[in-house]
Amino acid sequence: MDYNIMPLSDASIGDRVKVIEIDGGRKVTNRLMELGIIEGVLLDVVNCGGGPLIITVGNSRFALGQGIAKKIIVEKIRKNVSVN
Amino acid sequence: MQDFVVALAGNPNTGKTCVFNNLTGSKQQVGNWPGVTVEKKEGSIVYGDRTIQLVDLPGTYSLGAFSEDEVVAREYIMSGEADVVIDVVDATNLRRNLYLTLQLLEAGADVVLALNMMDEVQRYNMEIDPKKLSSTLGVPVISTIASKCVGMEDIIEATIKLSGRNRKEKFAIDYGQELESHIERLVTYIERDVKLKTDYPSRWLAIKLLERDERIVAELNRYENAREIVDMAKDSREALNKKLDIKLDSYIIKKRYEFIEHVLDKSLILKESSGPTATEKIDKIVTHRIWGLPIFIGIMIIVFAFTFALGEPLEELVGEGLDAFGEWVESSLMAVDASSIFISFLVDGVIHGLSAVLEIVPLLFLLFLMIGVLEDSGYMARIAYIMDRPMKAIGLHGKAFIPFLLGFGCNVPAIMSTRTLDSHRDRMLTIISNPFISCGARLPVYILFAKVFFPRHRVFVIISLYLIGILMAVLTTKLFGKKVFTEEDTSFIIELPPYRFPTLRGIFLHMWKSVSAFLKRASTVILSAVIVIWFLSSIPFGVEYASDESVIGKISSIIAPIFKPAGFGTWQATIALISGILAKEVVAGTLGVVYGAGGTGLEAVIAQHFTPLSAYSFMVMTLLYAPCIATIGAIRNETKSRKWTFITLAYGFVVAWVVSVSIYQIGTLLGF
Ligand SMILES: Nc1nc2c(ncn2[C@@H]2O[C@H](COP(=O)(O)OP(=O)(O)OP(=O)(O)O)[C@@H](O)[C@H]2O)c(=O)[nH]1
Ligand SMILES: [Mg+2]
Repeated sequence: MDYNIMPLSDASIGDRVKVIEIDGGRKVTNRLMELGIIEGVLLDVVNCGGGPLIITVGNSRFALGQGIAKKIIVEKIRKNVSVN
Repeated sequence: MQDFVVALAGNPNTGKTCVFNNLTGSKQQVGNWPGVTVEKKEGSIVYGDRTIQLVDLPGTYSLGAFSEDEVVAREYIMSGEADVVIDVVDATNLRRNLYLTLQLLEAGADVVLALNMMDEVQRYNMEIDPKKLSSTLGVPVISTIASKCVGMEDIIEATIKLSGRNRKEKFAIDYGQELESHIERLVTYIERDVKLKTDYPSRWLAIKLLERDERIVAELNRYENAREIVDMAKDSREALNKKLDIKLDSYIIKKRYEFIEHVLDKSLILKESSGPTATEKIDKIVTHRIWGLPIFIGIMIIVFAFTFALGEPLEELVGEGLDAFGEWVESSLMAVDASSIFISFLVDGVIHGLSAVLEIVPLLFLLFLMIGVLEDSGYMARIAYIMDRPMKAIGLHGKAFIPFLLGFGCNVPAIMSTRTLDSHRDRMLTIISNPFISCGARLPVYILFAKVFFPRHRVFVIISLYLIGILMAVLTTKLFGKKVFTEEDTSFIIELPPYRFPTLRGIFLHMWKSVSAFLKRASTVILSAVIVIWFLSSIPFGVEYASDESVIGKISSIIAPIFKPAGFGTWQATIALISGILAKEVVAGTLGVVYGAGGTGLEAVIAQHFTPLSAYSFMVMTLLYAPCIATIGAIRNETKSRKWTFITLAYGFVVAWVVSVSIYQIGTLLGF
């Protein structure tokens, strides 16, 4: 198993990740997809650390709780790019 | 010319209400965070010889309806009442915004696309071609900057033009061979049923059935022969779920996004990314893992310190003015030999009743100014993020903090804002505990008593009351969360809008709305209440004004013993609390009337009737004992349950009584 594949909740600040799969209930999965968090899309992790995460998708930013972040399976493509 | 109805729909925070206000001249709440509008608002535009009914809706990401506010939008759109839908999209987030647009088009709505926030597009180094967008989507596209009133006329014109047009060619997304064959089969069956065929666009209905849209399935129960079609759709779902390598729902959503990509390919040019935006830089600091919370607490301290430091001197000035005014009225009426009953009515009733209330106008002004800055800057949504971790401790997520924060202004909009919470449990908990959050209307009592009994620690005492309110809200949430509503909801999602500089116009709008609502209350509910109290204090005729023998003194004395253990078993305090249920400001107003004094006079009387301890206990009682009528109405409306409205009230009163009595009794034991 590729260790680059992980739940979004394990990503760290500055990571750029690609969404591989959303593995949640119907309601949450549909909602995330409606927000543009769908397979193949790139997310930047702007903030995290125990609590909820902040990610950007295109020009949108979302705060996502840990519970949801666990359900988004991603592949890390770039590590800790400094976002200043 | 015949009227027609136009709805404003779109994702949250795209500027719908801004457009609504511009077009109708209304002053509905605008704010830079998702979920400002939670109910439908109506207005009208007269344009040339036409009258257009305009309906502002809550923001929604899709017609799938996730939370209660989205349900409001969806229900209205699906009801078909609107002849045209103006879809306000955030041009800087076209991809996501167009998702709803597609759903509107699929549902057969006549759509005008308002491409809003065009001023921000450049900042993201994008370029949009509205003409191409219009031709690929087949709808009129208007570029707008709602906050600067740009493009408003064009929207109306496009809307009018569209309303007169016959239905255009059907909009359809290609869902791929696999799915299309199932759609086709369902369509054939739907079209065999004459009733179904006339009530719904058949292709759309087929897709909704494949998506297992709960509302549609429920609706179809009303049709005789629909059972068969619903079952058929279910079989199709199962077959497709097996055949496709992803879930059918996801597949459908992906296909819509593919269509959007195709649209954007032609109409959107994305240049090089322009480096970190101001929003990114600010967020790095204010949402910092460690510093975020202290910064937030610091901001809240600044909000309150600013409000009170600047507001108090102003409040005193207004108070002195009202005092002088009362004296002047009294002496001039006496000079012209007006009847004593009339003088008593004006001075004891109206002026004394209102002055304790009106004194706080400057404080309210400043409080709402600060809340307005929080709302318009974009920080509000960050607060939800920052508070997520602390809120976890009481079994809620960060978004549930927003109703608490709004409660400092007024509990009614606060309770309504719980509609944005996704789970029933979170809504109930937030509603039940919200009345403990000290709204602006409770300030007159705090100000009055703190001034008399704690002149040197006024702000400290007032802040302590706010904290007691917060503590009770927290304990309540914990209690009901543990015992009654146990299923925790983990799905915390909130969009963080870019920071925007609060505009003077926007801030003015916030203050205008809140302060004018307050003044309106003062001149209606509060005024009538104090007049009634005055009247009851004056009868039976011949009795000494507001004495124990007056009607009000007699009635209120019966109830007063309840409050004796809390240190204020006087009938005056009791009637103040009872009438305060009409509106919380009335508590202070009633004291003015029944003690027949205003301003400094009232302060002197109160100093005789209370001790510092009983005064504090009375303030705590005022803080906790019951929500006002408007809040009770909101609780009833939002919980849709008489039982829970009653429980909230009874529970609140018991808590208030226990806390006040404990404070008074323990305080007495300790020798205060
Ligand atoms: N820069 C810019 N800001 C805008 C524009 N239109 C609206 N805004 C701002 O965007 C924010 C949201 O505006 P609202 O009108 O409250 O948005 P809404 O769509 O009604 O939001 P909800 O009721 O929460 O769904 C406010 O801060 C507005 O001042 C625009 O064209 N350009
Ligand atoms: Mg709005």
